[in-house]
Amino acid sequence: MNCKQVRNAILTGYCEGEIAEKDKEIIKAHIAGCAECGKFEAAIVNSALEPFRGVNREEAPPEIWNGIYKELSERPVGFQEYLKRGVKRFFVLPRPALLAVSSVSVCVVAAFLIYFFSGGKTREAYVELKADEQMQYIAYITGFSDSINGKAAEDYTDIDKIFAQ
Amino acid sequence: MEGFRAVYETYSECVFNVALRVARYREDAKEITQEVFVTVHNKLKSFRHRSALRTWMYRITVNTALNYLKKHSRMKNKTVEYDDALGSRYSKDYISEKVDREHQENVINKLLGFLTPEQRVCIVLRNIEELSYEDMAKVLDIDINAVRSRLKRAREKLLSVRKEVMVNEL
Repeated sequence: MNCKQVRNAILTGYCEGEIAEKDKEIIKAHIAGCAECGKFEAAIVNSALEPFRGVNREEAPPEIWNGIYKELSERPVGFQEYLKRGVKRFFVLPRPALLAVSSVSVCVVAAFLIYFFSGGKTREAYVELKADEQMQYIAYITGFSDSINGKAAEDYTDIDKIFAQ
Repeated sequence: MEGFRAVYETYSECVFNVALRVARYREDAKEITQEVFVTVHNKLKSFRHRSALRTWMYRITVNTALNYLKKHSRMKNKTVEYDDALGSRYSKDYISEKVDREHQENVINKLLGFLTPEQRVCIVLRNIEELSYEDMAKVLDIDINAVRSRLKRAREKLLSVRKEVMVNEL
């Protein structure tokens, strides 16, 4: 090992024992016979290692925890965060629960579509309306009423009257 | 929150001390420490134990501190000039065996002031926190040779500062 390599090792691990044992012995022998490298080692120890030995350590001031607590407990949940949490929660559901949620969702959507395309009427309401129209029609043709569905006879066009007969 | 408080109690000291050495100002260190623990709280569930919790904490601390310094770009204003920093007392005093703690703090703070934030992080992790080169590589997410290279440059800088002081004193 030449002086350059030895000084390189002194800067990066020799003084701290972060070096292979074999290399350590070679460097040690070199330093013993080389005054300049010996001085370099002493200079590195004095300027880059010694000043940091036994440095004072401080406890974290208590107001830091108060700040953290305040920030975490008062932080508003934004819409994006809310949405992200919802989506995340959905995808981490266990499979049977996911299947159940999917089935219910499909049923709800199907029911909504049926309701929407039936003009907003339920079957019972539809049947009841039709029965009422039929009763009025029977009352009209048997002479008990002179109107159908709230319309007076004179309000009907000729075509309506043809169909009413 | 109680569980998180326990994490805080365990790691607040090392987080605060690293932040203090890297940022060099108490108020900045407090802000960095707070930011670190808020980040840790948000990411704790995603921590996969691929690395030790301590290493993970150091990584978050270092990244937060470096980002904080970039964001606030106070470095330019706070870089200590040679005359102002070390003056004529530095070399005589810190060689002395009985350097008082306050003076040692002063010297350390000023020495760190001569380094770039990245070099400072290396010196803090190695010389103050006493992490192994391998752990430093994990914290900094670089390979071990890059750790050696950064440490080498940082120590060369400290050596040149010392030489400058000695020449100035003669």
